[in-house]
Amino acid sequence: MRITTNMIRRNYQNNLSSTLGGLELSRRQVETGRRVAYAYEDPSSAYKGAVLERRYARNADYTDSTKNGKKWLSSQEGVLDSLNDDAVNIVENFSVSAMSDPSGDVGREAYAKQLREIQKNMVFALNTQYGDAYVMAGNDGMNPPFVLSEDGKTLTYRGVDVDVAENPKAIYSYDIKTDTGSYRDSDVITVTGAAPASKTYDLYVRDDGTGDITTAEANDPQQLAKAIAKKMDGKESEEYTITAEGNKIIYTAKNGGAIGDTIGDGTKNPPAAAPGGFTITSAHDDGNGNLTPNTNVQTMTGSQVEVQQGVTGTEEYKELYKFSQEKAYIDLGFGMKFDTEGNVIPSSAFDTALPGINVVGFGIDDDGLSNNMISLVGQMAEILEQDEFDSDAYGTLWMKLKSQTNELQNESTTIGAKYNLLETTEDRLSEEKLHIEEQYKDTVGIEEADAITNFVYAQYVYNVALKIGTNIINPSLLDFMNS
Amino acid sequence: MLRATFSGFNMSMLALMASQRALDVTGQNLSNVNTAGYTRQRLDLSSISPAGHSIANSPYDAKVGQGVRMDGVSQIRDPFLDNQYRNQLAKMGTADATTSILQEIRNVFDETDKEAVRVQLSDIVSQLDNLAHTESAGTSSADALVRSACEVLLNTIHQNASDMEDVRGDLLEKLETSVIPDIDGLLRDIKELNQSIKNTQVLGNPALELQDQRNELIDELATYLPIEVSYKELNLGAGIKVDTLQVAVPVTVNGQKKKLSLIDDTDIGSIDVKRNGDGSIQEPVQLFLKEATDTSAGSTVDTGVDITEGFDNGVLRGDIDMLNKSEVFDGTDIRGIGYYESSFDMWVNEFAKKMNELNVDADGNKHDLFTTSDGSDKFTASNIKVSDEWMKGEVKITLSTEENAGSTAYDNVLRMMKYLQSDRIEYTASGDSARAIYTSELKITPGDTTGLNSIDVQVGTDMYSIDIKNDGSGDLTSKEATDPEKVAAAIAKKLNDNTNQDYTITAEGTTLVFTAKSTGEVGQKGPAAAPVSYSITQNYIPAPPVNSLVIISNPSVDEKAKGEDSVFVGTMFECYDNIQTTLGIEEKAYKAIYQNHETVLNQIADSKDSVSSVSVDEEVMNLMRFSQSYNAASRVMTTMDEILDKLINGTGVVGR
Repeated sequence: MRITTNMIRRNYQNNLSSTLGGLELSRRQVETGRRVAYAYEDPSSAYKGAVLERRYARNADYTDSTKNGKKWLSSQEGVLDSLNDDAVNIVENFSVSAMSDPSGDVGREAYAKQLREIQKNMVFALNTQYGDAYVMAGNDGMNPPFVLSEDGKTLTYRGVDVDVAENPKAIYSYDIKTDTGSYRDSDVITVTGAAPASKTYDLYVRDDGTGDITTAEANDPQQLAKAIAKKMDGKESEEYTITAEGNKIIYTAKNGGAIGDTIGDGTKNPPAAAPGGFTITSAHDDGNGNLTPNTNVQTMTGSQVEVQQGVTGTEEYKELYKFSQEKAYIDLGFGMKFDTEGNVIPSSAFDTALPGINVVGFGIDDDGLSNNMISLVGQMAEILEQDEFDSDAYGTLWMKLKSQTNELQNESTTIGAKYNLLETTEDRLSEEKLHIEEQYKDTVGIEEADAITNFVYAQYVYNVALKIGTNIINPSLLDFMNS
Repeated sequence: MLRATFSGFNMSMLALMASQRALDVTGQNLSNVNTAGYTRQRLDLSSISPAGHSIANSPYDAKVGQGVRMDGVSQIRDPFLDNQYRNQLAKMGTADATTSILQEIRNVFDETDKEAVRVQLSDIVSQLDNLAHTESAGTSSADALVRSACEVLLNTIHQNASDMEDVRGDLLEKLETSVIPDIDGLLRDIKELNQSIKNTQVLGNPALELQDQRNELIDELATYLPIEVSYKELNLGAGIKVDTLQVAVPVTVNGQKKKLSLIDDTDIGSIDVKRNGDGSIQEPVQLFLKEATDTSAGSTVDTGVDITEGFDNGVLRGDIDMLNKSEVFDGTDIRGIGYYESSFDMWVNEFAKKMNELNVDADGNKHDLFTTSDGSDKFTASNIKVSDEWMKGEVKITLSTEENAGSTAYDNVLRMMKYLQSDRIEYTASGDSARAIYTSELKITPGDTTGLNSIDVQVGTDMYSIDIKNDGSGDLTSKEATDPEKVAAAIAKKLNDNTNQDYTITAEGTTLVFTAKSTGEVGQKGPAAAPVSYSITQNYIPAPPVNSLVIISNPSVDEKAKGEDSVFVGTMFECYDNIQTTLGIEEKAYKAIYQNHETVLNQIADSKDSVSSVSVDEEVMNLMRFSQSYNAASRVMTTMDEILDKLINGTGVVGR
């Protein structure tokens, strides 16, 4: 190929400018610390960089949330501690024996006053705020959750009296009827439960004591009912407790609420359906294992259904129950997910809610006592204020308060565990942050040593190119011609 | 033959003159070593042969040439390389135009090293996260923080929208004020040069420098659109011939390949775009070419050929494609400015629509967070705004969708966060790119096909027959006709081959599917009408057997779907990142294409230079060569002088 002056010059210029371009690029990389400044330089790294930047931002959010969550839990824990101190104080210093002090009325009145003060204190503690929100208010953080009436008798949580009975429980009763004849020794009484389980329960009538029931008992409907209830309870239904009352078999729902109704998170449902009852048959054992059906005894099921009505506060109890189940999830990067109904799946986020009624209790127990500590304290004070000291009643309340104190301590433990989870999460997040930073640097950043070496090399190449330029461009044959 | 006594002087004089003129040419070459487009020249020499034969021819004499003759000055140029060079220029023009526009779009959407939409969207998530804490859920400041984060994002969105409008506007302006006038100017200049060259050549001057100028202008023209250059020799009589220039533009119009004449000697055509009443360029851009041979009086746009989609390469191609096309959004295959605008609008629409949708209270009442400034129900990057109600505080982020929710229940905020962060969303290009699809189910009961001669499909008054022949010469064999799916496929093929230019007709199982060939709604941009109905009959000879094949056609066709094209599936963030990634990949690809073309162009330029460009070394050598030959010719003359001196003054003086 014929090489011409302009060809050399043009190619030299092209090469020089691309060398300068390389110098510029490596200069920019060293100066900015970034390998990629525009997506076109490396689209996939730029995209990865974007993803990492986003993860970094989320990591910062999660870290903030975790730190904040710890403070939030600390406030809750503070409340629990204060409540616990009060409760322990009462349990230790306000026992029946202390009240039975011979110093009499004046002493009790002083105690009563103290109890009233403690009661108020406990309410103050429960209405503690963090930032603008009440920490024990569940999902209603803007309003003080607990209000104690002037006389100290009524405590409301978000407007609902805490001393409401649970929902009525469904109770079904079945009569055991013995029409004619009587059971004999070696009879087998077979009780068949309702579908779908259709389980059978055999009661052996043995007078030698090896069976479930003696002949005399079998022929007494009340005793028979008792034996059948004993056989069936805990096996026939998970939703009902089965007991005997007179000659009746009583199915009592374990949970309150109307049949088929749903309250709360699904685990505390009232029974989904009424119990289906049962049938009773019997047979005689001839001693060799051959059974002959009895015809002289007819024991049938009753079909009368009786639903016992609730005492008070059906709706209120539901309301309190709903409050007690409230959650306040924060996103800590556990991959927050929702179920089909649009509720957060508990394992995918962190629950910061601690509704106050879960701590101090609500509702009335089977003995008619309040489950609420503050109400109990009020009631104790009330007894002390009366002229006649009812030490039995006081003792019962005191025992109840003591057992509720244990519940309170359980809540403290739960909070501690949650706090620990936050601590580990925080550690994990700070570790993840380091990982992200490292990955980000690998993806869009430079390796300093490489970048500087590249830069120096690019500079060297450029200098060489310039040097070559001065050497090639000028000389031509012209420079060697003698004129 | 007797030699004329002074003939040697003449030969020397020719040699001196030739050397002198050769030095002049060398000087011209050296002077123009840096002149753009200059082609090296050469003095064409030939030796003068001994003239004729003489009556005094003698075997004892030898004939010697009479010296050197200057034939003329010529250029050294390879037309083949010129063509290659120009083709390559056009290709590079496309890549160059596209790359430079993509660079401008990059300034809008590339957030690799800047904080804009992506960071601001992320900030909205952070602010929502802040709202999703019991201690701040009920406070109005937390809501205001989310709102201001949204305002910041919207500002950037508006900025991006107006930047994209600028990109489009700048390009239109470039087309209007630079490209079109430039082409026009080139055509005029070339026309002038054609005239001058012809005039000069008539006078016997080769007009080499003018040709260099013309070649430069043609090269420049070639960057705008593909051209084919040819020369035609025109005999002016009296032995005078001149070259005339023809420039044609190869195009494909209505499926036919044509060469439109742009320059024909001193006639030139013109290129222009369709304009609005106020003289601005009408969008989408339509490009017209009025041929040089078209002598009608109409304007370029009125009488010219629409070549908008007709040519492959050049700056015009790149510019027009970037202006007119938006890939999946209009069913083309090029991601022009519109693609990025539409992608962004689509993203903004999804964001605003969904946030509004999520902001619903327990009673199902919607409280719009965003509205459009122009009342449209479709959000775009330019019309999105924070709703007045939200600005005034009448509307807030709905914290909970639960009935009787507490003051700090915030389940809805969590849903918004999840939507922004991790919900996978299918983004679809709606409207124009939708494709009408109609289906028509055939109810075919397979049966005995003995005697089945044909299945006749009637469309309007036209009848198409599916011939049943067992020797394979028909459309189906009678055995195949017992298979409903094969029957349906044959019917679909028959209809597809014979009817309806607007639809592609295929069979899916026993259902005929009419898919519009073009996108857009029926009667608007897409097909002019829904596909016509048809009826089917079976023709048996002599009579149908018992249990014969039964085809019950559904003569009406049902619209199945508007056929929205899925553009992208992913999260909000991924979708936005996708704009940047797509842009990055496009720019990288076009840069690579540009570099390839550039490399090839440089190689061709090297070849061109190798032939045509001045080499200083060579010219300096020529200087020496011709100065030597000049010296030699002088010596010849001196020698002649000496011998004549001897002859005249030194001869016959013996004994003097």
